[in-house]
Amino acid sequence: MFFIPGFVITLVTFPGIIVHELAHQLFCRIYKIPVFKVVYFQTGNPAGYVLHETPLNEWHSVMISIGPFFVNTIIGAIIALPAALPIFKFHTGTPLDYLLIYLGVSIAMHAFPSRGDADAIWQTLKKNTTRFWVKVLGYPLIGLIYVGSIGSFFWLDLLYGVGVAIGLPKLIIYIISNFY
Amino acid sequence: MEENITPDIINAPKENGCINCGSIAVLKGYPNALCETCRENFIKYPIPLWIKLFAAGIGLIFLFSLYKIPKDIGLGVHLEKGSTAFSQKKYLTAQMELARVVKQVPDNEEAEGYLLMAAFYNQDFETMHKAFENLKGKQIEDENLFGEVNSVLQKSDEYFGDDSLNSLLHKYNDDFSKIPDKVVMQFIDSNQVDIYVMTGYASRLNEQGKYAASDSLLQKALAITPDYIPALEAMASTKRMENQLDESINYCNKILSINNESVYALASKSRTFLKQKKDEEALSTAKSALLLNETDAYSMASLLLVYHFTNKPKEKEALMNKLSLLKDTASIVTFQYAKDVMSGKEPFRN
Repeated sequence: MFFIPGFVITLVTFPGIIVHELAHQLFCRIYKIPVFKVVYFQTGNPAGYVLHETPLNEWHSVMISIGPFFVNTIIGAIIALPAALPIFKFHTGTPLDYLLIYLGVSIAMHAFPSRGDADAIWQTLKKNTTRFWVKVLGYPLIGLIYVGSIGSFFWLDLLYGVGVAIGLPKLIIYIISNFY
Repeated sequence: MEENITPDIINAPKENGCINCGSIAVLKGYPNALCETCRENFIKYPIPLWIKLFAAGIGLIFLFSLYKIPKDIGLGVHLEKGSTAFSQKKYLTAQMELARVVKQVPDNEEAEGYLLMAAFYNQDFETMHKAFENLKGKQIEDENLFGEVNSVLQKSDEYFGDDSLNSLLHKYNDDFSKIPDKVVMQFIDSNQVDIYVMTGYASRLNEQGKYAASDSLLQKALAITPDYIPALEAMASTKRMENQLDESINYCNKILSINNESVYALASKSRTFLKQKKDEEALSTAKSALLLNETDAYSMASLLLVYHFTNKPKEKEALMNKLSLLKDTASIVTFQYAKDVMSGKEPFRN
């Protein structure tokens, strides 16, 4: 295991952080939740954040927290998909393909919700008024987010980004080839 | 680490109206005391221009990727299908799929290497030669693939005549059929391991009805190289003519164990089934062969024989019309043999 200072990772993978914060903001807009401040990117800790009102609907709160997971994963996967094959399968990658892979990985690796996101869900779930099924779904989700957060110390986030950008295209091709 | 935050300070209700503008017209029922205008403004919290430009850039790249995906996925699927078919010894499918990949990505050594090998097992030496030319001077990084390609290239030497045969052929206008039997036999005696000539001569003996001699020569060739496809193909036919039908089927199966999609082996097997009076098997096997290559004259003639012996005049006529359109020498000879069998001129089954 080797150590790279956090701000270096932040700088290198800044597109993923911006997409992540923008996704939080967009989900706030979708659910009509007032936003008071957005930091899309900074070299400090946290690398970015969205300050918003606590949603009345607990499901909205969960979705605002985990929305970036879907947005970053989908955008990262689609951007990287056409570049993964030329680079890793055909060995004919162009500089544009490498740019796409870089963007795909950096966006996908910031898909994981942060501990701050987990805390926001936690605040919602601990309320007495929160419905039972939301709690059933929410608590394991918080657990997963914490595991992801700890895992990021061991490059789990990078591994996820690489998996989405490189592994997913291979999986899609395998499925289409063998089942269609 | 990036976050979304809902701090208590902002959520705390204020006694003195809207927390942003101080208006007393605060909307009730929300955690923060905001008037309608401020609430709407905060909901539409402005996105800075640079973020909009950044998002537009990502959006364009996203659209570009979406546009590229079908072609790249398609190529990946062809390569995957080709590799899978190759590993399953379905060389006809493998060649078809890999040829598509090579057409789009001519510099890909992996696809070219597998294409070369698939073409070899399909006895398509023109494609094999093209792939070989394309691979010249390139380095195959995959050591296993490199080894396999080399092994196939070594094997392929036996599928062509050597210099001594070429000099002999030269005396007979490069036509093997014009070399007298005696000269060929002398050549075989002095070139004991030349299975290319042995098999060629065995086929001639087969055509002359000298099945035992053909059989013995093919046995000799197969003792040298047991997986020599032309000898196995000739043996399947010779055994059928010798009425050793189970043996004929065995040789067809041996070819199919080398190449699951050998059109010749399937069509030949169908003829042997027909001779065994296993008409249903003959029909399905001939159809399988034709499904793999619908323009293959030998498969068409095999199916024609099945239609003839199973009394299907309509299908027979339609297929005869199709066969009569093929004008190359090999197809004409194949069709003629089928016609001779149907007219009773050539004995086939009682």
